[in-house]
Amino acid sequence: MGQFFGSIYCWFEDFFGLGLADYLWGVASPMSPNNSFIGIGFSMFGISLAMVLVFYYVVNHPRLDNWWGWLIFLGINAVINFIVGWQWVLKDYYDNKMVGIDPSTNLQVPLNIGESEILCFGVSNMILSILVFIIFSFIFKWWSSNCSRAPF
Amino acid sequence: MSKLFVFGIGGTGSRVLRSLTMMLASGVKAGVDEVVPIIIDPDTSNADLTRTVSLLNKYSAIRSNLQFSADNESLFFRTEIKQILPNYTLLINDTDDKSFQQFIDYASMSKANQSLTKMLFSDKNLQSSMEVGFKGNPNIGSVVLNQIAHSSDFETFANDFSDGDRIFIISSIFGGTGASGFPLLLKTLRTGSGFANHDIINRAIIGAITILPYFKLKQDEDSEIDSSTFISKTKSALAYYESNISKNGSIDALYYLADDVAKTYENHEGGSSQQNDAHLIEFLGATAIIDFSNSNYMGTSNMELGIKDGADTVSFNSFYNRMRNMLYNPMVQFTIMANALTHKVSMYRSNSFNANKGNFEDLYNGMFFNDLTDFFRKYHEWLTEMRENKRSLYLFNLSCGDKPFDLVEGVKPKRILSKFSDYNLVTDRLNSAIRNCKSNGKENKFLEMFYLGTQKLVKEKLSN
Repeated sequence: MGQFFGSIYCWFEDFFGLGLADYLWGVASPMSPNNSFIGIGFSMFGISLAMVLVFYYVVNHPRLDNWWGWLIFLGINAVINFIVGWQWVLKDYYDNKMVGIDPSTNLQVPLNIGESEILCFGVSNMILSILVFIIFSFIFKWWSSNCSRAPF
Repeated sequence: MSKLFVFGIGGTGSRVLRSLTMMLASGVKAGVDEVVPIIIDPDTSNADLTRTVSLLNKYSAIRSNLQFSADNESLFFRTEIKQILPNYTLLINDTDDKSFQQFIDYASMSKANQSLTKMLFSDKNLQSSMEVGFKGNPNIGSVVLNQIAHSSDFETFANDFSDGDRIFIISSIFGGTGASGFPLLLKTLRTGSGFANHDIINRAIIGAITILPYFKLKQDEDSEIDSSTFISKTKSALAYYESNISKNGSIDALYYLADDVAKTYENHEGGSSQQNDAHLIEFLGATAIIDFSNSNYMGTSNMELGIKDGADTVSFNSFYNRMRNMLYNPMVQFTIMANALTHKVSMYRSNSFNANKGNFEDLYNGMFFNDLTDFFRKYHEWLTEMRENKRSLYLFNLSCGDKPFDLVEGVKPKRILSKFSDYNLVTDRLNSAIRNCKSNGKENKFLEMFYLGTQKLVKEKLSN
């Protein structure tokens, strides 16, 4: 699964930077040797799936059976996933986990990752969550009693 | 397939048939598969008659699109209204463009017969035109309507009659056409032998409702109808009915309806200006037909109806349980549907009504939906007329607008645990109902969806 999620997120590695990509793959920092894409990816999938199910089966409101009703939930899902992706990685940044080992001194040195790259990762997570929300919508919409016409 | 032949005599007959049609549309259960209305009124242009014929035609047009297989749970428009005569009207021979004296061929009578005729009929009687009925003169009606059995339309009725079918006769006792037509028609049905199936018809179960005065007419010197004579005519006719109908067992069930609160209408002798507003008494008259179709009789039963109180306004709460149970669910369900498809029609015909998908996209531009919309308009008119009449029948609050459950007068909607309210709740229940519809064809499915949806809503929000 780590390979799967990693390859999806790496569609955006030029956007959020190779340094952060390597860190998330678990190959850049001894403080974070595991593939972080698994956790973030599952969270993004889980949140998007939950939002789709909430829209089609919990809220399931007759007045939201249209493109704009669906768009509201897509937007909420995007914002949540942006915050989750951004804060997930930002926590590692503030915990000083984004460090490498200088082979000459054997001392820890900070990786070349800034807050702007982390913000870009949040945006990437948001874009992926939009795609996932759309896919889940077309899987689950058919059985909704009031909203199966959303988005169209 | 048992049938109920309903003879509506005179203006009152047409108006009771109007109420009956509304009840059948709403799904009030008649104990027969088909109702065959037959209007007897020489005044074929009177507006009460033409309005009822138009309504019956509309009902039939809607019903012709529906099939009621065992799977179809809907009761809306379930009972078939069968037309066996043009305009549902039994034409009486030789009444067109004739005065009464021409009809009886007064000019060619002997002097002695002319003198006898003069004793029985006034000059005004003799000169009155047959085209606008008998203008409150049962003595004229009893002569003219004696020709009923000789008409080809009566033969059509007789040919259509089968063993097990029933007959019901609606008439008023205080006018001309109904008061004279009822005993004559009953006598013909019970003892006549010159028509097809007369042996079956003679022994058929026959019921009737006789409506006692329930309105007055303004005094008019130029009119032959004087409502101050209604009571005296009623007394005479009741005495006649007692000895010639009830006591000799020629009828199985005789329903009587009367009210001592009466509204005064404009005095029209007939024609297109005779259009009285729908009235509680006609509504109750229609319930008598439903009751008759669902009952069995041993000997002659004389029936009257009581309501709980004598208030000026009658609602569902005024009825005793049997009557209330017969009417409440069907009429409330039908009114919720009529209101939704009248006041929220743009929403229900739009894409945002989920049930439309794959089911009703092309239904809203067709004749069926046009007919249904027109029927709902007539239904609302009917309810409004009864509400504004005296005594008032106030069943529904038709100005409930966006609050569809503030509908039934005297019934507070229940609170339920739901995230939806008002029309969102209606829509949600319809969207759920469409999944349980088993009927085929979009028209059947459309009404079944509304039937199942409103059935659940009434149970949840407006049950007794």
